[in-house]
Amino acid sequence: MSDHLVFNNRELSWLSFNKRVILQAVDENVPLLEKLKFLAISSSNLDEFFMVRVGGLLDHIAAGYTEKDLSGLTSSQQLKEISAECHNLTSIQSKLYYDLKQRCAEEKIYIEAPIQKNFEWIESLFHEEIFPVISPVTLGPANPFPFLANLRLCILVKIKQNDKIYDSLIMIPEMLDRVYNLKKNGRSYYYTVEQIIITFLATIYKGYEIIDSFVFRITRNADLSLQDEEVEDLLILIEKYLDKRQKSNAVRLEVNKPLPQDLKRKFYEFFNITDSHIYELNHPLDLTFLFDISENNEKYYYPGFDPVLPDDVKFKDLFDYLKTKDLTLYRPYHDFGLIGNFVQQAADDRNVLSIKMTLYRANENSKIIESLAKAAKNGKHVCVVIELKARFDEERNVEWAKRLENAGCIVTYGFMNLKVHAKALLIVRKENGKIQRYVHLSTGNYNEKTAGLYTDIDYLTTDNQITEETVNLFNYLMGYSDIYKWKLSENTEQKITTAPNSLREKLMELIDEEIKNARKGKKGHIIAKINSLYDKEITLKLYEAASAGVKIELIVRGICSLKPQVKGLSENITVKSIVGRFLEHPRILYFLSSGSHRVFISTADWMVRNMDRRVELLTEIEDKESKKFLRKLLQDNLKDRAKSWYMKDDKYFKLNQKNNPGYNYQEEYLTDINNIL
Amino acid sequence: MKNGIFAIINVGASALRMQISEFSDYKERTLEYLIKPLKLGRDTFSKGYITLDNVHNATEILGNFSDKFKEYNIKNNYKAICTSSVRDAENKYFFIDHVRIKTGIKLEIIDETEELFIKSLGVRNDIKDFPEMEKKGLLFVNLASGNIGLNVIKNDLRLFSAALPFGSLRICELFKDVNEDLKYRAYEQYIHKMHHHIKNTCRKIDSIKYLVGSGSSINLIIEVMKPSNFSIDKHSLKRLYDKTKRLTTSEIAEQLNINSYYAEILKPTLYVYLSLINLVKTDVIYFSKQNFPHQMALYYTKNIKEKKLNRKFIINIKNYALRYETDEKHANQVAKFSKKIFNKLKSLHSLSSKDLLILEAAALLHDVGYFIGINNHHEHSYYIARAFSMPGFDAETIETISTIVLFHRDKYHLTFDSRFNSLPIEKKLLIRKLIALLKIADALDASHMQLIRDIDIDTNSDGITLTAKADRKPFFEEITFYRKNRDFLEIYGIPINFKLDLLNV
Repeated sequence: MSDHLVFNNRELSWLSFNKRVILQAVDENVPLLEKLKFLAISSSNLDEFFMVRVGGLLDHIAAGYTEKDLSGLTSSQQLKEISAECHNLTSIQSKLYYDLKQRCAEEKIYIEAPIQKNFEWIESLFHEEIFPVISPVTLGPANPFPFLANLRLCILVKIKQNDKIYDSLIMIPEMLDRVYNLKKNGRSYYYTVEQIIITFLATIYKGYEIIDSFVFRITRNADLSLQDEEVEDLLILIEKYLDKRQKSNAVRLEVNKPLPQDLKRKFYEFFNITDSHIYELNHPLDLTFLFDISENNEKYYYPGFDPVLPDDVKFKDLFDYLKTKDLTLYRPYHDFGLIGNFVQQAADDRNVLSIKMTLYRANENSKIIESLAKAAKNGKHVCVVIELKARFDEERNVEWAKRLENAGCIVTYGFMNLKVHAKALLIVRKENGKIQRYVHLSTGNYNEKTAGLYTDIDYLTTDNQITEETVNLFNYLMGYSDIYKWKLSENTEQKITTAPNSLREKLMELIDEEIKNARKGKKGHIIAKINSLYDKEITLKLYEAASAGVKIELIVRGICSLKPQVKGLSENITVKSIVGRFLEHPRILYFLSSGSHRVFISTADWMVRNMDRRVELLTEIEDKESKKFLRKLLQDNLKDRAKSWYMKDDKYFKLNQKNNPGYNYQEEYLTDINNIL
Repeated sequence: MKNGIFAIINVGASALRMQISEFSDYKERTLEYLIKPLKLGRDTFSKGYITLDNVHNATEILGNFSDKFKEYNIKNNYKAICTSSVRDAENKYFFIDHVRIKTGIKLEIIDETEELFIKSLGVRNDIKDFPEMEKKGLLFVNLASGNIGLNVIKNDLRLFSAALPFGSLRICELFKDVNEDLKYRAYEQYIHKMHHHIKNTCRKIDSIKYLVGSGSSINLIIEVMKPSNFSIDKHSLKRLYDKTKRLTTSEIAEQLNINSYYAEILKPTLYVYLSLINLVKTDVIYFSKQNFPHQMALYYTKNIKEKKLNRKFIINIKNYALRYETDEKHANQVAKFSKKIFNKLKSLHSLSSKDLLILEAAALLHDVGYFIGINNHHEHSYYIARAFSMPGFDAETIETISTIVLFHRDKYHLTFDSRFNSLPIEKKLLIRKLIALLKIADALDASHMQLIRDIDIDTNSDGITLTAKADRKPFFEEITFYRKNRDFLEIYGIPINFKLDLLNV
């Protein structure tokens, strides 16, 4: 079978995920202004996609790289398909934008409201705030295009004086708001900055006749390196030619209406951009401004919720609790604040000797960071493994890293060529003269802000083997010790498996066991909830398992290289993607394993980078209650209809009907997680 | 140690290791085990010293280890031990001092015998049948990167004990410039020398029925051969050797899926074991998976010790003396009197029971030099005594015994000898105290006829009176006594006098 029949293309698969995000805006269960947010999210996702992924593919072409990807496409073939799909997506965005605009208007929320309604207010706004900071540049042979920053909104104005036509450029200053809001008589009016400027072009160009104007922006190839995780797979292929990369090249031109031929030619020439990368939209550019549409009325938003804790852990000292049993929590339904409180408690506890943790993306004013600093000041041994290469977070990371260092924490920054995605916390306490350890392992970051938006598993335990393996893990991460071949336990089977060493092998072994059982006529069953699957070896292994008769149910939120439900290839495999209010983030795996029902939580997606270029964890959960909890969680994910997209080959579709959305697991969990799990 | 936390650091030839143990009611629980590869042995075994780069590397690793001291509030509850790669390095004192200044860790070097002793204790603690094997005849091998330690034991007697420079990394370094294809032949020739040594010095080796292996080499063998129980048979060892001996290091690494260091030392490791197994009457190597830091943690916290070690020591000393055809009756008589005098005068000398053991050993060995020649026998006795070694007794103890042996003769005065003068003052004092006692005991059987059956000692205002019980008048003994009792007066400040008590008269 040729590659494209076996594997989905990574970029197209991602674009189809983004389409599912956009389509949240038509989901009747989503409140009005939340719908706008999904449009905004999809728009910002697309921006990043162009800067990073499209940029990377263009680099391939510049480097002369002509190899095919997993799905059998060359980089230029991929770009062609991406362009077609993105044009399609923008027309969906357009349609939805105008639909939602209309729906808002019915609610007396006016987006891109008519200027005349509030002319006086706008006029003074323009004169007071906007006009003083804009400086048009007239283009000509002596005055070509200035450098246009990435994603900067600009207006090209055609003006005329004495029968001569000029092109003039207004770069909208970043200091200006994108949206101006006026609330009046129970109505809410929103004006975009470009809308206002265009209204007053005649004022700006006094003495000129305004012929036409175009709002546009350029998206540029992000200046990324191999360390940047969304693009490293592309850049590794052309590592040798990286110095030839044309940084900051234009990769996309968006304009708010069709461009006349002469202008198009100018843009081609100046930005060295081809037709397929020009997007003539018929809606406002950069829909992220929809994040700014905000109304003081609960009905336009998801109902608020208070995260809860399981009944038996409330009011109980967590140290005492964990000595008697393990604790599994599911964010955001369960309160992630518990972890912050736990670290805080440890910082103040006389008997705590040390606290160690990984910090990948922490939020500002993080309570956890404050507690760690405090613990160090209290004389505890505090070790923090910080991953600085988290994209776009670098500055923020460095600032709090310094704060921790100044407080006396031992701070290390992981490895040169290996990002640390493992999420682990270890608290060592002396109790009655003996060392007692507490471990928290998670599928998500120690970030109090995203903890309210992402779903993730938190697992706390005092299990001897897990705590010992966590001790070794930290010794490895801190550079104190080289675990031999990364084995965390010497004799028994490890409970924590690490990437890049053995996670892939372990996964293969687990799948192989199901295959073996299926071939013997026993049942084989795999359920995996992950964010992405893009890996040749794993995909092929899953096909092999499917053809051996193993039942495979995958819950893959985003990219998926596997084609399910293909005759002769993957009839035994189902893939679904849940896109809802919260971003699905945990990785939970289930293997029937001859009836022993093995359950794992993991930080690793099933992608080459996670298997081979990250420090990731795969932890087997043997605690009975936690296993039950996680298995039920998987079942409920499979049961979900309302927010689930089912995949066949490379297409996604929904099974629910408009008037009957079906089971919505996120909603159900919000209502009553403690009784469900 | 009954309760508490104890740390072990081991600076080995291929890695630095640290173990942190928690003891509660004498039960050990390993809290942490750290390992950082650093091939100090490569420096020492090829250049003779540790390069500055590696001094810094080791210091950095040890600096990290010292963080753990703070974490667990370990303070002085630790032992930091260096083996051959530091022991054999010219700049060992610089290395130790540098580490101390930079990290606060006080490194100590242990000698081969102690290393071997700790390992055999650890393995004995781990292998149930070990004492039984020792009875029936056991070759205990500690093959490490620098040296190989060997112990042959049968019926509680050590037939052979040695630390020889056949460590696997050392062998590799020795032949590092030999063509890869021919290396195995160089190794074989060199290891043949070891085989030859053991066979010739330990005549009874072919009666030995058990072979137990330990040391870092065992980890490698386990990694490669993956034995299901704690033993490996000769034939699979041979098969593996034949399969790999002509392969290059990188081929071995690839085919056996091991790291390049393990791949490099595989051939000498296998061949050393093969040549050892050919020496003894067995086809099986037993081993324990215990690592050295773990064994040390148990040893230095006194949670493992050899039972009746002192008794075994004396038995082995006697056996050793007999090899040199010493006058057994005389030796035993002098030993008996030495012990008696020592025990009766405890309040005078205030020495420890370990010192009594030293005295007894010196008494048993003082005349072994006659085996070489009648003239200057004390010199011969000295070096024969020095050549004795036994796991559990460090070289310093043996050195003290031999020094006492050297100066047991009256006419030879120790203050003129650099071997005495170079000793620290406490050691000098100890030696002089013990020599004074030994000389008297020796005098009491000066004729080698055991005329004096027993002695009694009384302390009174005039000094000490030693009453000799004999059935005949021991003329020579009495004269010798008054020649040899001057040391006693000098060191204890009290005269000792001879009184005869004739039995049956």
